Amino acid sequence: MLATTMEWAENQLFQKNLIVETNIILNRRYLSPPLRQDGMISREEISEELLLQNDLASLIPYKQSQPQSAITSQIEAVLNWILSKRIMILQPAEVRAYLLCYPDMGDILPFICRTASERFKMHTQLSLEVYHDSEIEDKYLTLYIRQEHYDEHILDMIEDICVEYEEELADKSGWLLVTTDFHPPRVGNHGL
Amino acid sequence: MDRKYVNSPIIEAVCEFRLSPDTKWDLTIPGLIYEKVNNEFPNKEQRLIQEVEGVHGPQELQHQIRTSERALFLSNDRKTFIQVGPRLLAVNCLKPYPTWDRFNLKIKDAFKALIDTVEVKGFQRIGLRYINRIEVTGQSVNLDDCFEFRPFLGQALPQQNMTSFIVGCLLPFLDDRDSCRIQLSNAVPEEPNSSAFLLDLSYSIVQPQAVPVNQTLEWVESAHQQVEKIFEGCITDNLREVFQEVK
Repeated sequence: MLATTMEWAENQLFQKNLIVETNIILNRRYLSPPLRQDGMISREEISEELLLQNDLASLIPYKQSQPQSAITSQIEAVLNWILSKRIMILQPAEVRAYLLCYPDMGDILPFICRTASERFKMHTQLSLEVYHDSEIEDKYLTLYIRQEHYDEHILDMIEDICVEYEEELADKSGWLLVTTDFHPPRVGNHGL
Repeated sequence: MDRKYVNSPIIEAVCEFRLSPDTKWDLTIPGLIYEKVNNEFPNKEQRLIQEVEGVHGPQELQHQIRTSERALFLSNDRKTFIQVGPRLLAVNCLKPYPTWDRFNLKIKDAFKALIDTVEVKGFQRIGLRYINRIEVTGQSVNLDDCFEFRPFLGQALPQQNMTSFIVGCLLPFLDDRDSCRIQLSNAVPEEPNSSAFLLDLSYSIVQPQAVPVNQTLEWVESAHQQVEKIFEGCITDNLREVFQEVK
């Protein structure tokens, strides 16, 4: 069944005219996963990636156009995806609890994380945390950018990301702040 | 319920009813359902749901992301809620899972509110889904020790610990009337030096309208029995010890 699902998924991607390479190995022909040459990832592709990562076998109901009513599976897929991008999540329980309260944040979180990890490549650690503001009993997601040696343009780069997603974030029930605390990276090799 | 666990791994249980396209639906229905359930689900919210949809075009299947609105009626502790969208009603129950008897009561209440409000012609889909997040101590865990349902790597493949995996299958039940999707993947652990896994069991009818409306709740009960057996079939005694069975 899984093989059939994979074949189906490959066929659909093939039909979408994505670039498909054909390799010849030991006189057998295989379709390798399609890759975009420009390195850009669209919203649709991220959605597919999430589906493929955490909902592979659900491609059959997906094919039949049945959206999910469960909310935790999508949250788990988002957390897995973020970790796969080497973004640190020190307190997964807190981030999970936040996303359970504001599940629509899961729609935008991967895009902001993706953009941040692309803009800050070398010697940078990205850490997703929940910030608690005790004065006004508020909390929100925070993506901290931490570097060993801080780039003099870091605040401008952060501002660019914030501006890019400001409008979409305003439509969400929760909030995410991209910022730095100018601390050195935490222990661990995430993103460094 | 044959086995009960102190540390139940269930993070979410969902019972979903999708109505057939010939069932009449309008914008007043969520409000009418709310009137019938607001004693137990007094908090109402609206959420936008992004759905990836496969649409058959003239020559190929096209993928579209569309947004739809759902009404949510939540209990005071926000751990149980009813989702109502166009021709859809789902009852969700988050951790801590309150036992099947209690969850089933919520399903029955929500279902009664639905059929008292809408003239249901049939169900396109009925589904019962259990999502389990299983966390065990140790950064490298031998899957054979924990799961009877797991990925298999042949001898020609590297046998080191997998950094990431997903394995799934679709099993038919009751002469193909029902099916259960079993899926196991790695998950993000909450504790340091531990490993986490997501065991996702989704039992549903295969053919639309395969179950008559007046037998729906019996189907839900039998689906639960099947899911329980499948869950027990997926885990080993080692995990039962971690979950601490209530004797």
